Amino acid sequence: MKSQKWQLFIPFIILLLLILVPVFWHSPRYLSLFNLLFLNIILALGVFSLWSVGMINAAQPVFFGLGAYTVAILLVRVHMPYWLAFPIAGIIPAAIAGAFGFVALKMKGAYFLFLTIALCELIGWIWVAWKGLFRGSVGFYPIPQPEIKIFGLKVLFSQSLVPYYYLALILAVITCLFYFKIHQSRIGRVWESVGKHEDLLANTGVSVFAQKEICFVASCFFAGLAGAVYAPYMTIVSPTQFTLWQGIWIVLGVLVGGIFSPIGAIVGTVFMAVLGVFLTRFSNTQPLILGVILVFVLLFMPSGLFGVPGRVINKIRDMAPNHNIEKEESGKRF
Amino acid sequence: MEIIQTFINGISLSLIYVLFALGLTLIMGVFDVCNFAYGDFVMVAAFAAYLVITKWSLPYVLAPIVAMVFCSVLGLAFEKGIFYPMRNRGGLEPGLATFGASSALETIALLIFGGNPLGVRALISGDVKVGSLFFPLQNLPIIIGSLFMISLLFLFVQRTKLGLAVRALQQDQEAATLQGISIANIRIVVWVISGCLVGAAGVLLAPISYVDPFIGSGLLLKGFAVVIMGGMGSIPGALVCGFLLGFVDSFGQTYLGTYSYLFAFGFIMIVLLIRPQGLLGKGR
Repeated sequence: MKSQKWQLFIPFIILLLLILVPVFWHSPRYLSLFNLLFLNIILALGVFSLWSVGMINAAQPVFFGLGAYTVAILLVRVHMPYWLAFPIAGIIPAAIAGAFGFVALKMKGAYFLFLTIALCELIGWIWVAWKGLFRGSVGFYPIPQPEIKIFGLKVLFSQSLVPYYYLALILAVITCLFYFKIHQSRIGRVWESVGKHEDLLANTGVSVFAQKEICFVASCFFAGLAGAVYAPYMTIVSPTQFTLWQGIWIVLGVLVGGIFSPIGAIVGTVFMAVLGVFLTRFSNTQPLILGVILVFVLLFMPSGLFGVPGRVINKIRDMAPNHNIEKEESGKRF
Repeated sequence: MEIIQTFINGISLSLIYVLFALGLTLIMGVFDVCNFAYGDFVMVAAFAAYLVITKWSLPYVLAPIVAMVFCSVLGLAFEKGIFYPMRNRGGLEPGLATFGASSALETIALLIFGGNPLGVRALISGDVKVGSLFFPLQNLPIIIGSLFMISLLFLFVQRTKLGLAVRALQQDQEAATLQGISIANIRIVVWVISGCLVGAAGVLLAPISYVDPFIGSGLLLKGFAVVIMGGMGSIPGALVCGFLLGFVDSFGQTYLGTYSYLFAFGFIMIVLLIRPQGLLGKGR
């Protein structure tokens, strides 16, 4: 399907709208919603990319949390400047992911999913039990607020949510660009074929395991950076903030959005966030409604929410008389 | 002499793990799917026991029957609602859909019964005193009941024609279909058997633990650990690993305290490192 010219402008329009949000919408409630949404999108893109090599990672919040803990420890204990701690918060979760993946990525689908679940429980337990380093279930509070100088103008993060909004937005945009570029590039094709025909690809001389490892480490690096934004933003880091259930909701969000394109992951995450906001009024029955909606989406939209317009367009095209010619053309182009 | 008591607790704990894991491994082996709502089957069975014994004060014998019927019906609902329609979409997608179903079920239970832990009286209570040792008699029905269920399952799988069909389906779906085995019917049979196993597990678990809507979530992780450690779909594997994990758990809690957690997961990791396909699983 050839993308129309006007479709190319959609991301820019969305980006422009997002940049303008804090100008018109000061309310801290909405800003924090957007903020968490951006961070969740970063996590979801990581889950999506690992899914494209055929692995489901339910432990994404753990790597997110490891990033947050790294920043908290470096800021509170070592008194390191925030912008120096920021990259380290990406590197440490990536290193841990590399070590864990070295064992776990050799397993297949369900086994890997289970191992990430086990990792969630294990790291959650270590955060509570290792009081000397992680301060147990109390966690770190308060975390010092960063500040930055842009063109001689000093921006204090402690004063409003707006600097955090832009920081999270910039990080989310960078992550999106990274994953969109990869998805279109040769590496993206390789990753996709790892997910689809692993054995076939291994026969052509590609190290499937190395590809999975790279993918996993990259996704955890971004998750750690997102954690570095999250820690000073919440001003508290404690074990209850990073749980297995969050990881599963992220995975479900990606699945609901559609696992064939990074846009699907974003759509799904936005959908879950919107659903969460709408369902806050049903405090008791919220998980019930959420669960039923999820089952229905998964049952009746096999290609996810993002796949729905495509399916509708295909249906309409099938009704047109000369759809066969067009289909052949699109096949050749690929 | 603490060691003997820990040993007996370990036996009854492992037998419940084994029952639960057998039901789970049957489903995961035959359908090649994950079922993350399986912990809620235990919850349903435990609430059935609560209703029959505590609320309606009916005879104790009815509790397992009612629980098994409830669990089988629930299993068939899952089959018709989620697993059969999604049968061509791999093992993990329907598994993730069961997460949604699981949270829905837990909320329904929370709305009906509330979040307070409810009690179910044991079939036999009291202790037998031997020397300076106390043997709690409530372990006795657990041991007898679960051994009975496990041997029934073994008889079914090994000695009956239907059991042969289940095993055939587990090994090769296409070849089994060519032999004239109706997949749809066998799937229903497997759900009913698995419902009976998990129903028994829930009724046996209810007296030694409190009944609340989240009773199954802890058991689910243990059950998955057993199934994956033993090899997916392997019945002897579930048996052996259920006992291993049960003993690691009960001895760990007695002698290591909270570190038993680390110990159990470390144990699983090491087993999977050495044998990625599970202890008794077949390589692919």
